[in-house]
Amino acid sequence: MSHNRFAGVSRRALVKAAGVAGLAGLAGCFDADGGRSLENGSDGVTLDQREIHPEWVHAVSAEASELSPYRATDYASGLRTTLLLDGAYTLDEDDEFYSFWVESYENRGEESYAFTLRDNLEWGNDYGQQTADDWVWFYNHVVTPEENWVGHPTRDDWSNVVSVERESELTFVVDLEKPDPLFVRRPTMWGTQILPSELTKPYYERWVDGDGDAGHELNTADEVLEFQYAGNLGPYTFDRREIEDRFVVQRNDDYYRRGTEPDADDWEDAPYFERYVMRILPEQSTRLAELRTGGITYTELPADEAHALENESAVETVTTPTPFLRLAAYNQRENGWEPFRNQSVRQAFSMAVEKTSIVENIFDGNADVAHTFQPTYSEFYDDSHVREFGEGESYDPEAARSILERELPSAYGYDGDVLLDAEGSQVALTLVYQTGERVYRDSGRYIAAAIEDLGVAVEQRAVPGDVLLERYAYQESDSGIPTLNAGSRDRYTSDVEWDIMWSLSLNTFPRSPENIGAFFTEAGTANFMGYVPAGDLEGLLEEAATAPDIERRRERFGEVFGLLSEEQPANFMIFDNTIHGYHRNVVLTEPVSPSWGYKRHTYWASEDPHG
Amino acid sequence: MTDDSLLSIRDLRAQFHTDEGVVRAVDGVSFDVGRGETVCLVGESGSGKTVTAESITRLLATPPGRIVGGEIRFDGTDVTSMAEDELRTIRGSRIAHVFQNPQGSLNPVYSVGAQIGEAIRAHRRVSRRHARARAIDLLESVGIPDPAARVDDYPHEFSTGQKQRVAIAMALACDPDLLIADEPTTALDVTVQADILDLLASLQAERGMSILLVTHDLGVVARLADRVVVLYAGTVLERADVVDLFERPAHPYTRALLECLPGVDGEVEPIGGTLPSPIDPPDGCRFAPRCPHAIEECHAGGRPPPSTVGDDHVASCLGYHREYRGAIDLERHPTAEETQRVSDRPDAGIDGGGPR
Amino acid sequence: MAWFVGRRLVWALFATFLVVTLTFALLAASPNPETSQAAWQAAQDGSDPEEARALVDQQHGAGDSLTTQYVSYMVSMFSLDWGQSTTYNEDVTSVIANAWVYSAITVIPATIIAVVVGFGIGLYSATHQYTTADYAATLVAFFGVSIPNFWFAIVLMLVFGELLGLTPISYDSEVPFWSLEHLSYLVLPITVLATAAVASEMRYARAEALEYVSATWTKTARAKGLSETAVTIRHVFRPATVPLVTILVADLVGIIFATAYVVEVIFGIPGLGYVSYQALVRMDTPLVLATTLIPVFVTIVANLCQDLAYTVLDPRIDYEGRSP
Repeated sequence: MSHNRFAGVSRRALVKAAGVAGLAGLAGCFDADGGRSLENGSDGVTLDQREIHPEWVHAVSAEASELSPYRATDYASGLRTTLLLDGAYTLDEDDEFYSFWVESYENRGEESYAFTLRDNLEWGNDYGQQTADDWVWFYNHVVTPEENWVGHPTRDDWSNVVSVERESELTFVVDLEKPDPLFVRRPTMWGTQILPSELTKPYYERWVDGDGDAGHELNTADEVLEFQYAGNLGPYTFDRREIEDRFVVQRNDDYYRRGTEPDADDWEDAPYFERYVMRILPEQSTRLAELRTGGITYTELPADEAHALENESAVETVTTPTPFLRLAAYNQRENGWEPFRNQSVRQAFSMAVEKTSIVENIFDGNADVAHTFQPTYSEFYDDSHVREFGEGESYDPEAARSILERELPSAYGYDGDVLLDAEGSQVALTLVYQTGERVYRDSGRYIAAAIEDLGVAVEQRAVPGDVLLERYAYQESDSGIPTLNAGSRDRYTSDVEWDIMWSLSLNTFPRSPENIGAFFTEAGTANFMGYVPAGDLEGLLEEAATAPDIERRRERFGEVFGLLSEEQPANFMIFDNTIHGYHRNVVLTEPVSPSWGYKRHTYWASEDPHG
Repeated sequence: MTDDSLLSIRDLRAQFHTDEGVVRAVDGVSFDVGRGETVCLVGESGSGKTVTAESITRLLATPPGRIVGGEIRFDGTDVTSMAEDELRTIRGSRIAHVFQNPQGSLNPVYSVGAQIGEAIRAHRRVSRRHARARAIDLLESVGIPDPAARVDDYPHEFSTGQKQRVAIAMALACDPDLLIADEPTTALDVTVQADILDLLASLQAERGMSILLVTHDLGVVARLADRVVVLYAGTVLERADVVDLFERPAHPYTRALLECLPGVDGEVEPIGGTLPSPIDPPDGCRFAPRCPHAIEECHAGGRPPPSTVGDDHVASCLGYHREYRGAIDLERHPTAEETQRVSDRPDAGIDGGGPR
Repeated sequence: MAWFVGRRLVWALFATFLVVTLTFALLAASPNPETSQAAWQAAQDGSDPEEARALVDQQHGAGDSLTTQYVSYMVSMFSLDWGQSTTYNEDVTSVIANAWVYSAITVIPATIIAVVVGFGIGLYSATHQYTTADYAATLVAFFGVSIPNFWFAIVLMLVFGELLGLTPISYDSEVPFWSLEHLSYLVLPITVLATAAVASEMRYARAEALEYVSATWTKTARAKGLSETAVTIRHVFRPATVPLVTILVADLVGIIFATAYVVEVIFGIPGLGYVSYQALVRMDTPLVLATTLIPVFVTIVANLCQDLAYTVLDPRIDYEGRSP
């Protein structure tokens, strides 16, 4: 399935990919020193060898369901739309602004940002130049109307924005409600793709006149589905889509980014392929066989296959870290094992599972051990606050047993190796995880065995991802709607009882960590596990989010992640890596980073990969 | 037994390979069929009579069946050494078959005319029209009413008795010299049986062909046979003229068979015991385990050689052998106790159902 | 006969209606995985999960009441105006029109091979029972029936495509349609499709033919002096076609359609099997209903043809009401 998704690929894709649908236990080894040198893959290749080759073939597993930029929020759709629309800007390897449509921005105090568009952006179909008016119109008629008439799923990204005003033909100003020094890194603007206002207007007017279908018709209009409006705004122009087969685009002769700064050299003649073919090959073995034999230029790789491919001379692999954390949540709601409400008991369980073993033996080294809800590369991660469980000395089943002996209610107790409950029978817990990838099952079994070593009987249940969500995570709210946190953990529970839930992957939002409140505050919208922080998590998050300067934010977030690692609402198991597999002739033009791929349209080939 | 016999079989041996072992279904059978003569092969089921009949034109399913020895001469020619193609020219044209089950012997998906025509065209270069006309004639000759209308009907549109008539018509298609009829009336209603037997008798009279009739029914034998061959466990126990056989049965088995026939003695007395194992047949006389007259010598050595007991009347029983004449009193009626004893013998207990 | 065909056609319509209704009910009763995922994403982002749910449902046309949806689907189904696919935003008819070609080029040759080779080997095997060839054929049938076809497909792809380089690995729709090269792309998919079907046809053919090999009428035929070939064809194979036709329809529809999905996934063929499966997974109601309708209707019509074929093949069967 799907995977990395930072730079370039729309942020919606990024968000979506974090979901159960995103699955993929991808992993890899992101060297602390910044990854391996990319020149390794392209020895002695110089820029004067760079020429335009006929074809870049990218194999993906699934068809896209949306091609309207207003709707294309899933990863598969984002992969396609970004071939034709660059979006406002992206973030580079240092998480800094990297220009696409927006040439530059200006910080006018922490509540106001001015964005200036390039002067050479042309819509197609005679919609003229893209100007500040398009963005102002987008904000006023797509983002803010009470009813979400085009079905734009990420309108909430704009919740801190109070207005978007035109300042000049190419400059518009975004005013915020609350100060936000990191606004530029937020997904609000970066990666956002819009349609020409002139194209959207007639549909908007029909909607105002009461035509409820106008939004849907806009999103499915031929003009939109065929990207006729895209002009010179992306590296390629639309050729055709064959359903469940391929998406074919041709090199854009008028690409606005060609030869412009930053990195004018890299972009000189970009893109360096006459056409880009995205082929749908649902079966992983097929994609890998095509990659090994040079039939395709690029595909993403599964964690447990990556090592085998690293040794293939025909393939160049790149492993990039992700902010997606796979955890084993402890059910602290009424239908979970009651002792999980005791922080020490949770710690004991986390102590009993050796994470390094999961990373090394199951993910084949292609993942990173996690200890708190933030990747170590995040600027908000502070080692000194984090308490480790399940790695090195902090993996200690013996200590875990004595903690359980001490912390469990007196009716519990060990009889030899077996942990007995008040009725004198062995404590039995349910471990549930999703089906779909071998690594989930293998690590699920490993976790079960580790917990069984504590004298607890474990029933393992493997269910499909959507069942995991619907039956185990969601609770029914008072209005009858499935909700991830319907309210008090004493009252609202999932349909099916469970104790530990492994394999869900959550976004840790290293660029805007205050979002994690959704998972871990008592009333957080995604706090499905019923965790009630012992410490003042909410206060800390609030302080961090509103801190006027970045230093203070770092401090506060450092404390937040220290608190989470101490309280262990879940066993923060591992961070996924994404592994990219390229044809050996591909010359990569950026350093390995979580933003991998932000310059992918400047990649070229030393020789025709498919000649 | 004369040189001008139409069919002459000498020491025929046929076997079946089964998972349990080699079944010696026919184990040294000899007899002749003269021209224009009706010979009946009589025996219980499993005695090897069908295998003998089907060995003549090698209809025997091979594998699992196999003819392992002996000689079959038809009209002076050795058919055992004939190639398959050569043999095929005889099948249906000079030697025809009628089988027991008329339901199954006609192919349900072809009209009867087509099936008769097929028999004709297998041997004669005639047009379909001609074959059809001949089929109508044949149907008429076997007594199907309104044959011109029925020639295009399918087998399921005929009654069982009519089907057997059709099968006979098909057999007669090429005016065979020998008709081998294997239990042709067994599957039929009693009333129909007589009609079919009459038909066979009259056809033979008309055409002067020979008939080899396989049956277990002595009533049928009495009605049609000129001569009779009694088979038991793959061997011939007695051969005789039909009148001779009924009036002076020589072999104890034949006598027992005749006693089974209702109406001869007034009551039916089944023969005690069952057929011996066809895989591992007993030494000596195969009937000895069930024979109330058997002496020790009957259970040992090879099979008793045929002894002439009358004019063209031969029985394979030590009772007629010069050396043992007198030792066995064949005229003594066995006691009930003796009959009981034979049926209790352990080696008599194997069910000898012949392979089919 | 006309009465019979008419009655069967009415039944076909009714059965199709039932199946489509059932499919609709099942779809309506199952949660849409996309909905729960969208809501999950929204909740993670701190957005409103309920709005996310509503957006997905709206996209799938689930805003209206069930009755309204049902009536409108039924009307569009039977008026052959199948509407737009909610996943692909294209007319259902054009989605199907594009996909069926890819299914046809694998399914039709595989069916022909299955029938010819399967029946041929089965017949040979039955008429040569207990010979080495018979045992070999039985072994092959056993192999064909029991190997999982996704596994077989991957092995073929890795061996012939990657290791030996004799065939392409995955299907490429840009290859000229009428070309030898195209054939090279189809060899493996057709092989996989045909293997399962050949094995199955052959088993049936052998079993049916065996029944007739030992039938008295084949003995009769042989006794008439017919050649072995004539006996086999006229008296074994011809009557065996009656039961075989029954199996042919049920079996080929089942095996080939099920295998077609697997083959399409593995070789990346954008055929109907894969599209139908995707429609189901994505809860694309208009497409699901249309893709359900087609095989159901094909099966029913094929069954009708089969019943009509009986009357030709087996004189004992007659729908005019004359006694069988």
